[in-house]
Amino acid sequence: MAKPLIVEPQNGDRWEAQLRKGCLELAILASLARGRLYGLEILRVLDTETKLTLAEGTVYPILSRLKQEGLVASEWVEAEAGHPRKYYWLTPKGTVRARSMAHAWMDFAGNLTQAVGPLLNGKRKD
Amino acid sequence: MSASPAKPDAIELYLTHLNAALLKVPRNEREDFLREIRVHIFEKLEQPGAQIPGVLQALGSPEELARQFLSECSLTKSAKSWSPWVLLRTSIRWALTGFQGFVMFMVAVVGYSFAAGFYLTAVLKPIYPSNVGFFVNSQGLVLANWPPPSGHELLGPYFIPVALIVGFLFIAGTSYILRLMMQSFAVARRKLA
Repeated sequence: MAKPLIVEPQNGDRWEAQLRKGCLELAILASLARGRLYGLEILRVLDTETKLTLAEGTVYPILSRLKQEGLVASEWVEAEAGHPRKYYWLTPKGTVRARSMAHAWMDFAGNLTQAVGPLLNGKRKD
Repeated sequence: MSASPAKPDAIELYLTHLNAALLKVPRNEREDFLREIRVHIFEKLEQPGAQIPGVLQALGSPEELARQFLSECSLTKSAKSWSPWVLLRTSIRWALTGFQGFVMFMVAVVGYSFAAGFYLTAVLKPIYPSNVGFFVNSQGLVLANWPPPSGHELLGPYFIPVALIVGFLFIAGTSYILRLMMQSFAVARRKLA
């Protein structure tokens, strides 16, 4: 284990925590777009590709809910050596939902990126 | 269950706390979740340099994990559904978890049974017109009987639409009450967690 994922952001930065949390569902669905993954693999994808630093346990309740909503399916696979793993994959309904969420995200991010541009360029509209 | 032969206390303590905080969750669901967390812990510990405290800390506290699970889990979801099938299935799963779960289950069974009964009489009326109807006699109200009930049949040809409407009202009413119960149950459990 290289580094423990941070549980709560320091200095009470609730906004960023909420933002990360809100994006987690999309990030999990997106990670499953590449195929069947088990919990730890999903966490690795999230850690390396999205930098969504949250308590690791957070993904499991979300996966349970996604399963109840029929967006993902799961199956325990017994390994000959090592631990059994619970694999998850996107259902057809989950694929449709993930795509529509991805489109919504792109629109949202595009608009907001434009809106916050002046903050980053140091320009002010007075 | 895969666990290393020597179970370190801290891990068992973590899982015990998690289990205790999830006692109201139906057993199958809870055990599956605990198994997944247990496998996560042991698999993380196989990574080079991994230590138990670090692995458990990265997972989040058992209370926080349980709180997240409860707020994401089925009751919250079903409380948003209008499908009698979803509501009935959820109430069956919750029937044995406590008094409130049992009451919810009874409401579902009684309410949906009445609805099914009215629909059944609507189907049977054209086949057995003299046995099925809205009979009023000394026993009170009789919907169906073999041999045909005594007394007056009040509705005649209007029986079928009335039975269908009453059946629908029972379905809608039962679903409405179940949703309210599940919503208040879910809120109470979130506060508890």
